[in-house]
Amino acid sequence: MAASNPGPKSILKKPAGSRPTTEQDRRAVAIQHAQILEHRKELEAQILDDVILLSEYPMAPGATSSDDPAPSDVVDFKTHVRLFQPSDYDDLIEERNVNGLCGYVLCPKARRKTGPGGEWTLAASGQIVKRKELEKWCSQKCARRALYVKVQLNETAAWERAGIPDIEIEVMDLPTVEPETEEDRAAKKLGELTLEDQRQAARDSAALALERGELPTTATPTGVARKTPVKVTLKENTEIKETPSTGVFEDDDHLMVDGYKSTRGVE
Amino acid sequence: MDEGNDARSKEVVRLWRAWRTAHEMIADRQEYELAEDEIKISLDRFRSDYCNPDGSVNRGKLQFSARPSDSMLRKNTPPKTDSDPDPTPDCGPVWVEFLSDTSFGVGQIRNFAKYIITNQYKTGIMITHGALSPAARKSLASVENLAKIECFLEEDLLVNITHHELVPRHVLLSREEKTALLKRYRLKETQLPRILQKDPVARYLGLKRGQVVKIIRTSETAGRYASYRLCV
Ligand SMILES: [Zn+2]
Repeated sequence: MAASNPGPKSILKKPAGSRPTTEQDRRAVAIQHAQILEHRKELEAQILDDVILLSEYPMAPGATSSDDPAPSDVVDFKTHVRLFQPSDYDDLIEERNVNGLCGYVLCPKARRKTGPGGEWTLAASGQIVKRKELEKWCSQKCARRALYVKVQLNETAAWERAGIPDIEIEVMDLPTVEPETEEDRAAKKLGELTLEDQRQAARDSAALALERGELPTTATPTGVARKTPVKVTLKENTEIKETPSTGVFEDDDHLMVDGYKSTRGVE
Repeated sequence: MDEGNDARSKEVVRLWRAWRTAHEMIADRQEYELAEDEIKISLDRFRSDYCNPDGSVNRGKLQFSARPSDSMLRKNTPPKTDSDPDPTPDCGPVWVEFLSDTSFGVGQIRNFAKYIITNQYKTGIMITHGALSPAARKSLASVENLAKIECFLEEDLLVNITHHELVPRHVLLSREEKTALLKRYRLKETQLPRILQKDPVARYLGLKRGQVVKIIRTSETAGRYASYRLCV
């Protein structure tokens, strides 16, 4: 249908309905779709770059173990892992292993090599585990620390996250319990600046929900956080931090085979 | 062949077969210049030419390159236009390498791509005995417009799939042949049936998106008949 000839008008519907009718509207929709696709491609490229970058970490000179990571490396790790889905994180571990490194980003050690042999092997604890799984890390400690980050990652693809408040990744077993170092604060500020758009979208949808009479999704005891959703995120973080002590993450969780863990030979 | 069961000897046979298929593949991609006696070498000659004194294969020696023939260059040159009076052909020399690393990450892909680009090859084919890491596979796309890098597992080349009796002959059409086909049948290329770029035969022929292959089948009732597919 040519744009110059709109054709007979329906008497039932208003010509300017919600559906695109003119050539111009259709073009606008097409451009919008192209932009969404372009945005998605950019994010995918960004994630791949982040995988490649983190596959060579830690960067700080003098790093000896993941017990005592350099603050700059921790900040970089948190910044670059932010957009990952768990599958991207798995790709990262594999890429680090190809580089001969322990799968945990903040660990400078080489991954464990158990020598030639079959698919299964004996762990130090006496359990039978997949050799491939064991050889991803330098130690059990790193396996646990890596898993701790993985479970915080968002299952939703980065380009579909509009309106979802951004997560902030927490790292396990940092030497300083006090997270508010100068660097941390600066990094957080920087992060918040770039996240402001998404947070605004989240706030907008929360406001809309309120208008419609729906309950806000995050009920906080004080009710103060309703106005400042950023604080809600921080609150969630502290909750995550407590998880390991509740025993959800056992030493050998990553060594479970089909949900079964042999107790033979465990000290 | 006194050590028939020896693992090393099996490895030699595997690589000999992969090496032959790799050469046949290059020779089958239109008209690269490869002499017949460069392709069909015996296992004994393979052993004497490419094995170390201890009987293991020296993968470093297996690499080879091929140049396109003049007719292939002509077929793959875009038509002259006012803005581009001297167009460069889409095809060029190809480099084939058997890599001995046991795992392949982004680093290896980058090194290989760098080698292809600095030596001005148009296509690079890496044949590996381990799978690429997921990030390495994704990074192939990012070098796509600098060089065409193709990856095969040694395992994929143990048998030449195009020699199988159930696989019909696939012939790549040149630009002119494609244009003539579309004109003759008054078709848009999107109206042609498709063949995926990751289809084993498409990979064997190194098809690029937008190229058209003619598939020639023989049938007892209909004789020889041809169909066409667009690579997507
Ligand atoms: Zn480690």
